[in-house]
Amino acid sequence: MNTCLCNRALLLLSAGEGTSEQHAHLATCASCAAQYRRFVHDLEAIEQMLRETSPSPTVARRFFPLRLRWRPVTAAFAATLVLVWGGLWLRQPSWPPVSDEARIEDVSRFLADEVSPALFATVDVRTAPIPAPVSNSVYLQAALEGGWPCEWQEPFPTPICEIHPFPLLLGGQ
Amino acid sequence: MHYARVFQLCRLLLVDRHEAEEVAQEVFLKLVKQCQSHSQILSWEAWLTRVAVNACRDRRRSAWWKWWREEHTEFQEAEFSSNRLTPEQQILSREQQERIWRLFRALSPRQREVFVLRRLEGLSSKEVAQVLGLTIGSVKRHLFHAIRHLRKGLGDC
Repeated sequence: MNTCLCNRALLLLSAGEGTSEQHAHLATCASCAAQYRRFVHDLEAIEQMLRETSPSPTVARRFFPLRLRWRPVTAAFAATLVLVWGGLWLRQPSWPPVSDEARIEDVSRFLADEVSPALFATVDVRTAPIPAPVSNSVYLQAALEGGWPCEWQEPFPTPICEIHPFPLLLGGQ
Repeated sequence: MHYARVFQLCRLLLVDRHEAEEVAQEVFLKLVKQCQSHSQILSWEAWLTRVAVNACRDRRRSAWWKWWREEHTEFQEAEFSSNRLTPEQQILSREQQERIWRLFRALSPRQREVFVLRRLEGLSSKEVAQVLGLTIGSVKRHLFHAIRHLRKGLGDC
């Protein structure tokens, strides 16, 4: 082997990887031998430095930056929370303004459709026709038939109403 | 003796002394469990190396570790600096040390494993290949790339 060794071969030789031919060439080639010794020296210096020194951070430097970094993180988190809360609050469904007349109409329509028209009148109470007064004979007839027995009694009710309520109820039907 | 070797291996693979201490303890806990299981292991040294490398890999894979390495890559002054350094090695300036440690950190995990096992732990290429599950050619390739990369820290390539 007469040609000089390439840097790759010399680096590997310095690291202990090489063929017998390459080692033989080193013995005959001064320039390759010089380069090889330089590589070996550098590699030993690197290895010695890695063995004898340590890049380990100290405990204080380990945790202090962590504490400092939590401040902007916490602030950003709080700001995000505020923005999310504000966005949700603004997105709440807002009812369109409804006039009183429209609302009354809606309620009236609901009552008219869903509830018996016999119970709720949709007309104004003041304009509604007043039913004609019933004559006393109607009440008398009902009393004779046992319908409304307690209507004309004294202020102190007799035990009849309390003792026999069922015939009255049955009789009124 | 074995603990010091395992700790040194973990320290170099993780580039963090505190993490290395934890991982080395985990490795020896596994060793105790292995001893209790009465399993026959031919070479405890090789077993320790393999378990340590795998434990360091597991630690590197954890999310917390990734975050920590990305956030805290500052070089710290050597805690291991000792008077064992020869004057020749002490010529290396601190800036050079910083550069080399940064370059060492920048190595891929595989390149770092190969370099540490082959050059700093003194394993042969065949042993490295067995521990890492690689071919010998692959070990040499990773070793070459690692050395070439680290030499940049010395100011010449």
